[in-house]
This record gives sequence, structure tokens and C-alpha cells, in this order.
Amino acid sequence: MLVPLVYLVVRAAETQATELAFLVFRPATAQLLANTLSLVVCVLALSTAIALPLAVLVTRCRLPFPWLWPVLFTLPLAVPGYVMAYALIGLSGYYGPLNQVFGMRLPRLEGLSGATLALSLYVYPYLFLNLRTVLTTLDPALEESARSLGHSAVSTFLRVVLPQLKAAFLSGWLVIALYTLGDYGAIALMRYDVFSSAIYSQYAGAFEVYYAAWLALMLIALAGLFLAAEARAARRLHLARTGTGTARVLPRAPLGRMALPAALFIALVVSASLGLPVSVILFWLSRAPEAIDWPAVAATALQTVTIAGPVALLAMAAALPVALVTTRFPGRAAFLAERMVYLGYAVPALPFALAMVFFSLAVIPFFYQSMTLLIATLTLHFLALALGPVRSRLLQLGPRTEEAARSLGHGAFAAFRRVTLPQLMRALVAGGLLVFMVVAKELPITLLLSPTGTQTLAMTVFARSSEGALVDAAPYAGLMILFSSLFVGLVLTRSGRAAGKTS
Amino acid sequence: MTLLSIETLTKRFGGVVALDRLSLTITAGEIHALIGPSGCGKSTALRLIAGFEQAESGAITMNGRRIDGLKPEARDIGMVFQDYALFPHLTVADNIAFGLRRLDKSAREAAVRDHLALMRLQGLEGRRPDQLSGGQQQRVALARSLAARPRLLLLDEPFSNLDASLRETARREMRDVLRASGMTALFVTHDREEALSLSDRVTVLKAGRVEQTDRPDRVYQRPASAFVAGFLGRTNLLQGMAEGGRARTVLGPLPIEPEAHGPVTLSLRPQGLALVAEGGAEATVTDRIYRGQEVTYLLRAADGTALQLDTTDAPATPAVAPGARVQLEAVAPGVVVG
Repeated sequence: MLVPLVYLVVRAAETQATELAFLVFRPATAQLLANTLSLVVCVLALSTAIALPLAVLVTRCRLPFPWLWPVLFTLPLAVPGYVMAYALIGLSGYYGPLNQVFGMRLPRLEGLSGATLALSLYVYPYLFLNLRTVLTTLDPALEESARSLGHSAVSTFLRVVLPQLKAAFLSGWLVIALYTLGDYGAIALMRYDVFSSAIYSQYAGAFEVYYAAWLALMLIALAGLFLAAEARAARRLHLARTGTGTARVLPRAPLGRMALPAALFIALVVSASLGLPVSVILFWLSRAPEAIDWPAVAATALQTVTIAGPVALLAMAAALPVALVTTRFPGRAAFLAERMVYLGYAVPALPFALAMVFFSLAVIPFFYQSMTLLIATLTLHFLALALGPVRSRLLQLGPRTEEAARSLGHGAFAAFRRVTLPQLMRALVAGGLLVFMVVAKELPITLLLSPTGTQTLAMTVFARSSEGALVDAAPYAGLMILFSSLFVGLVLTRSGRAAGKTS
Repeated sequence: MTLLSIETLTKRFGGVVALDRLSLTITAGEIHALIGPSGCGKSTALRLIAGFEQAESGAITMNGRRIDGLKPEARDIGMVFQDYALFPHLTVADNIAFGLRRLDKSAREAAVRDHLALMRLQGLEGRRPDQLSGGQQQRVALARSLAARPRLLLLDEPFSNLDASLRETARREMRDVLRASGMTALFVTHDREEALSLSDRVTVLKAGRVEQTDRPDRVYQRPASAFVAGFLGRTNLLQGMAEGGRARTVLGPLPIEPEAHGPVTLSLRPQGLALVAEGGAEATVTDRIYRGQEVTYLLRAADGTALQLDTTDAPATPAVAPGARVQLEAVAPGVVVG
């Protein structure tokens, strides 16, 4: 995991001192940094403005169809950022639905505002899910105490509930900030210059490879800074629950006068984050001048599966031993192995891919631009996603049942295979599915490392949209959403079932 | 003087009746215990009074004013929760100051200082709740509620999260603090010793209805129903035929209170029976339970009624083995419970 990153440093270090001053530390780089940071701030602000009210509505207010809303507010995860950007771009323009149907001409969305909108509408569920979990598990007695000590509902929310949400905010913001740093597709479609798009154009244009290496290192440093800041802030929180009483569920308040604004807000968010991409895709599908080339679409889908499938299987196979070692034999080595896995995930996609390029060119040139390298890179990058569920399930299981099997005469391996492994399967499969879905949507690593001629769904949507061929992109984008929502639905029902089990 | 009065309060959860036309009055300055088996509605009653739940029908009045339509924060009623509900993100001092925002800074600081001293919490004001022991957390919760100076303090099983060794001291301390501050308090418990030892009056609840409200010694000595008699302590229930101040029972003629006529059920505590050498009612010892200070004999009367009898374990009283035939006498009146 570390070796490729070393090659990034090696490449960067090859720069001449004069070039360094001239090419790397120039105003354009500062502009990239400023753009990247303002995008992160804007995305955090907008996704918070969407996620917090939704989480409060879902957990504290009486809504009709209470099961429906959490699903609707999680589903945008199924719409990849570049599809969201495609939808926002496809909305406007002369041939777009706004002009064709309503006769409205809007300027094409782009730049900071366009990128902020596309990313926020897609990533806000990460924060929503975090906030919802804390709001539903918060001891209701805390809020009731504040009320009986004379504080109004609003004051109670500000002074008691909001402070309890700090940890959820921090981890949600971290995920969103890292995602924003790593995203390439949506931002590039919105023609906004940030580190990731600069890295790609420097590399793809083969202009100045060491400049790309420097930019990649800066982006990694930025991600490291965010991680450290979050860890530092999280350490200072005091949120341990002191009571031992069983948690009750807080009775939900009727909306009253707030019913209309709440309904409007929910309608706005759902129509922007789900209705918009679906209807824009349907619009362009209906405008297809000739029959859609379905065999080509099918071939692209198949290609996507032949990459995502092996990655998911490899990730499952690698996650099991890492999880076993870290939970059963915790020590310095195990700790390091685990950190490495998470490091691979935290390094933004483009710098990670670039490091693999430099590494393969220097050490294993035979594998450069091969399917093997692509699959290995994706596995290393997304291994953490498969590790998470397996690790927590192993911790939950504990060694007792296995020890019981040992005392009943089974050997160490037999005991593991017959007792622990069957209980671990669900978590293992869940992790594998998650990896599969994420890889199927993945753009930047595939773009950089795939063998010439490879066409995945994500690559096609991105390429056609950036050429302005919105009609051609529509079937691929539609398939992408359909495909991802199946997986999100799967994850949602699983987590719902798991939650039902513990309560 | 009545501080709080509850009239015919009814509350259902789904189809289950939690409170069934409950009526209750709390006198200013008293410590009132609400006791009953789990599921009897005692915690629901507390939550309705605090304003966290709304009743279907009935009225809650404080000082002659209807309060059941008011929000919790407007009722001037404090609550100490079973798990204390201390704010984990605030220090001990900030927790205590939480209900004092109408005071100016110096008055607030003074109130916090007073209540830290009152609950023996000096030196802990900068700690967070998770750095406190269970007993300290309980005292902070009490200090926080008292500092807000409510007109009525509700306490939901305030001692159930404490070790048995701490409970006795904590109870006495809470009683002294409540008395010293003149606070009216209503507390919920399922522990009969707690209810009897701590309160001025006890209300026994069963299935959402009041069985009896009275002084602790009265509910124990003069239970109004067989349920109250059995819930507040071990007792013997005897069938008898009453003729005014006496009743004929398997133990012979027995003085009863209050006077009654016809078939009755009588409650007689195990301490109200004694072994005698002769002239008593015949019974057979079925078991002997040694409890240290006292010994309980399980007996069967001539008509098969199971009885229990407590006697002190003095060296002079010889042990009686199971199977032995003994003679009994009632040394206290039987209480008519039905």
C-alpha cells in the first residue's frame, strides 16, 4: 500500500529546483487550492442545510408514511455525482427539457455553484444517515429534562440536542469532504478547476508528469489534514451516555403550522435529488433520434461487471484474514495492517491511481495499463469497505462460541469453519456487495488505469456528457441509476433488518 | 393545602389502558410515594404530570389552575429521571445552571455554589457526568432539579440505579434535603421499603387505578385490600365470619378492625402470630426459614390454610422441626380487606 505512494514522492522529487519554483509553486496552484477549499466548504454547507432539517423531520415529527422518507432520503446515493451533474446540465440548454417543455432558457450550470449543487444533492445522505442514527438513539430523557428545567423546544434543540450531534456531524463532514476532494466526474463536467481535474489533465495530456505528482501529493496532504482535524476535534467531545436505563423512543410532535413549509422542503429536496435525474434521463431517452444501440449498452454493462465482480471477490477474500488478525491477535503489526487498509481508502482516487501508474511503470512495466493492475488498484482502494462489516461482526461474535467448539473436540480450523464462518457470511457478502456497487460507479481510477478500449458504464456516461452528447449518455445513465438503486435498496433492507434485530 | 390535584385521568397506549380514571391529590410540602407493580401506570402518571404525554380525559390542576394544556417548560414542575439524564456535554456546574437562565450571572453562580454545597458536590463542579460515580450522578441530578426551584419535584425510581449499599444513605440524604428546602415531591418506586421509609403519604396503584392513599404506617397496618396487604409485605389472608368486632376463623375467635358482619377476608401479618405452649389453634410446621434476626415458620392450619409466622431467634426459643405439631395464637387484630 505504501510502496506506490513512495513512487509518487520519487517522481515528485525528480523535479529541478528551478522548475519547482517556476511550475509548481505558482499562482495557478494557489488558485487550485482556493477552488478546492471553497468547493469543500460550499458542499459541506449545502449538504448540512439539506440533511439536518430532513433528519429532524424524520426523527422528531409526525409524518405520514414514516417508513418511506428515510428510503427516499438515502436513495440519492444511487445517483453518482457525474450522473447528477449530467442531469443538471441536461436540464438547461436549447434542446433541454426546460426550453423544450417550458420555454425557459437558463444558462448552463457550471463552475462553483454547479459543482456544489451536483455534489451536495448526491452526498447529503451520508450526513443524513449519521444524524438520523444519533437522533433516534439519543436518550429522550435528556430532552425531557431540558423541557422540565424550563427550556422551550427550540432552546432544547440548540442547547442539548445539537451538542450531542457533534460527533455525527464530524464524521459525516469528513466523509463528504474526502469525497469532494476525490471526486473527478461531477466537477469536471461542471468545468470547475480543482486539484483532481488538474491532476487528470496534466497526466492525460502528458504535459508535466512531475507537476501531476506534486499536485497529487498536495491533495493527499489536504486529505490527511482533514483526517487529522476530524480526529482532533472528535477527541475533545464528551458524549458518553451516563445512564443505564433502557432507551425509550421519543414521542413525535405533530407538525402543526410547520406542515406546509416542511412539505415544500421535502418536495424540493426529493424532486431535485431524485426526480431531476430520473426525469432528465427519461426526457433525453424520449428524444433519441434513432433506435438506441442496446447491444452496445449491454456490452458496456457486461464490461462493468467483469471489473466490479473480481474486485468484490478479491476484497472479500482479503478482508477476512485482515479482520481475523486485527480482532483475534491485536498487536502492533495488526494495527498497522488495518491502518494501511484505511489509508488506501482515504487517499483520494486520482493520486492513488497516479501512484499506481508510477509504481507499475518503474517496477512492473509489463502490467502497466493491464486489467490486472486496474483490478488490483481498485481492490486496494476499496478494501476498507469490505473490511468494515466483517470486522464489526467478528467483534460482535467474540471468541466464545469458537472456544465452545474447541472444547467439544474440534481443531482450530474446523471450529472456525463450522462455527464462526457461517455466522460471518452475511457480513462478508454485505461488504462484497458494497464494494461491487462502488466499483461499478467508480470513474477516476478506471479512467486512468484501464486498458485502451475499455468502456464501462461510468466512463461512457462521463465521456458522452462532456462531449455534450446528452442523448447518447441517457441509456447508460439510466442503467447506472437503476443498477445502483438496487444495491442501495439491498443495503437499506439489510440495515433495516439488522436494526430490527437489535431492538 | 392541596398543591396538585389529578382528577379522573385516563390514558391509553394503543388499546392498553395505562391509567384508568386516576385521581390523586398532593399536599404542599409533603413527600408522596407512588408505588405499584411494573406496568401499573405509575411512570405514566408522572409523565402526564410533567407534560411529556397528554391524557385522553381528566384534569390536572396546580394551585387551582389547570395545567394539563401547558408545555412541559411552562409547568414549573421538575423531574429527576431514573437514569438521571445528565447532559454529557456539560460540566457538573453547567448541568446545575441549566435551569437558571432567567437569573443574572452572579445570582446564577451563587445558586450553583449553594446547590453544590447542599448535595456535597464541592470540587466536582468541573467534571463531566461520565467522570462521576453513580451516587454522584444522582446527587447532581437532584441538585440540577432543585436549583431550578420548581413548585413540585417528580422523581422516577430515583434509587434504582444505585448499589444496595449506597441506597440507604442516598434515601436519607434525599429526604433531609427535600425537607430542608420545603420541596413538595412525588416519587415513583416499586420498592416497598423505599416507599414506606421515605414518604409522608403512600399511594398504591394497581392496573391504572388507586387502591389506597394513606400514611405509611396506615397502609401497612390497615391495608384497604388484599392486594395492598400483599404488595406491601408478607401477610396471611384468612377467611372468617364477622360478628361486629370479632370474627370466627380457623385460629378461633379473632378481634378485627374495622367492625364488619358476614363472611370476610382478613389480613394478619406474620408478626401478628405467635407460638404458644397450650390453648392455641392447632397447626403443623411445614418448613422453617432461618433469616438471622428472625425465623419464619411455614405452617398448615387444621383446614389446610397455609400460614407464615415470624419469631425472633432468641436462645430461649427452641427450634421447632418441620413436621412438628404446634399451637398458634393471634397477637394482633385481623384487618378486614374484603
